[in-house]
Amino acid sequence: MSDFFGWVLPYIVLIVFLGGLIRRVLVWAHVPVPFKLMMFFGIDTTGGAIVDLAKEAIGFRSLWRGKKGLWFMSWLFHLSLAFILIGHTVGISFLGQQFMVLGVTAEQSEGLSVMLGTYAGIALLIGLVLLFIRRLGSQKMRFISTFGDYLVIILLLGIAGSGMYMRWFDHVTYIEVAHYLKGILLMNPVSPPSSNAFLLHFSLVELLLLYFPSSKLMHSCGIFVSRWLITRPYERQVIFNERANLDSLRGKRHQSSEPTRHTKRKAS
Amino acid sequence: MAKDINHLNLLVIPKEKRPEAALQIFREMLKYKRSLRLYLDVCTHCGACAEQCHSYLGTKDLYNMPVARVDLVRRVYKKVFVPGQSIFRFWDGVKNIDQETIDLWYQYFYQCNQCRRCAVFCPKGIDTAEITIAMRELLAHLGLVPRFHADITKNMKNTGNNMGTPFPAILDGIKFLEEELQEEKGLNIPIPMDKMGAEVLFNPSSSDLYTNTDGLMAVAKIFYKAGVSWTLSSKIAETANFGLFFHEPTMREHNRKLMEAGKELGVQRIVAGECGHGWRTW
Repeated sequence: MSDFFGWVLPYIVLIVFLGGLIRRVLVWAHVPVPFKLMMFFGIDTTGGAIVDLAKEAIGFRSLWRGKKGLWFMSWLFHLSLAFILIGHTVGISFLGQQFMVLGVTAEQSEGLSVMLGTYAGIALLIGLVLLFIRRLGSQKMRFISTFGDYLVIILLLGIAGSGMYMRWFDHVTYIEVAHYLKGILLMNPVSPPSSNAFLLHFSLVELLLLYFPSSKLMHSCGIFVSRWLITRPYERQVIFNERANLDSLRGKRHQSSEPTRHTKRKAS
Repeated sequence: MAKDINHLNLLVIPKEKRPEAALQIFREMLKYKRSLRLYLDVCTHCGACAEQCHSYLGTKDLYNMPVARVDLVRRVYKKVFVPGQSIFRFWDGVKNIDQETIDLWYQYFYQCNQCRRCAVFCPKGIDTAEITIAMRELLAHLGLVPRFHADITKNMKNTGNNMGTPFPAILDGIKFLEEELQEEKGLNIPIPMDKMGAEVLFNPSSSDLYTNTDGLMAVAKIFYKAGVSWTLSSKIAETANFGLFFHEPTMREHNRKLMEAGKELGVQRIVAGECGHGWRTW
């Protein structure tokens, strides 16, 4: 069982996750935008539009404007998740020695790494629990929630919980994990760390990544595409998408009910 | 629902064939509207839009939350079009398309005001109005058009104005307004109709011709003082474009008619009256 979760599944997950992700994004990129959909008020410059997009993607400005409580929960969750993802990458690749560039000793660096990770993990758990309570708490939220919404939160709770369990009770060192992940990435699998908490943590991440491309988690990529539809630089003119014109709008369904005739006038 | 929609070049599809036809039209729409596909993909059901929608606040009907409204489409989309295995689809609350779903579409997509307020408050920028526009068009292709919209587009086709006013009545009304202006200002301020070679074709809003006539009189005064030669067109006397509400080809047909009227009269520019449903379609 541990062989399957440790050796075989990671490759399947990688293929499904990356393949699915790229496929979804390519589909979005391929579908034309027949009309511009900018929101009032329009931003004139590309730079301004990018700043606007960054405000939304980093600061969640729309939620701040609308619901401060939801903004706090989701911002706490997403920010700590970002910290943890960066922390995992940096911590595991530098084996916790990354803070030595600040001029501290190896032990202090590892201690700092562990401490920051613990705080971020607690913040993540708090954010997740708050979001879960919010989703269960009102009839309105239960009405719009599907099984997938609960499933994602439960998987994330399991991942964060098993991670914190490893932090506090069942220590797995950076070296063991780095060794194992290196083996997977170099196509030379070695046996995973023997800790059950690690196996649980790792398999739950794999399940989440398997579900990722066909779930609502695609909003992590989609937010940039969908926000760009309404915040792109504003031009007061109608621009007709050539590709949409050629491919789709020529279909029978899009013919107007009377054909255009200009018998008396020349085309201008 | 309107029975007579032949003038829109639409077919009434029999009830039992509707689900299948709807899927076919939906598939076509997904091929040319990025917004539709994106908005159905990226929603996380966070509920930030619910309290911002006045349709929901007014009715307290749960399906009137923008997220639930779009979910009526999303559940079909997830069943049929989304990539991924069947077990994943099942998790996302999918549902087969049936007559009940189409009835819910008709009921709830005509309760959306397309105000785009949800797009301001959605962290992903999901614009429910886009989905509403697409779904109303899909329903129109199935032959489900509200009688009000169908009748008004029919009036526009037959008489050149939305109210179905006969041309002599419009001429009479304009004559009356000219007399009013004469009385008010003591000047001979014209409201020309079908004047060849005028500089401006003025396309008034519907109310200018029969209720809010002060609007048209003010316009006449401004053009008179500015010394601009202008005219109305009998071919298309109003700018309110009802195609905007339910059917894109009808909307384009309306504006094509307007362009044609302008070209026939030889005007240099077309000016819209105070009517958002008119000039927003230009």
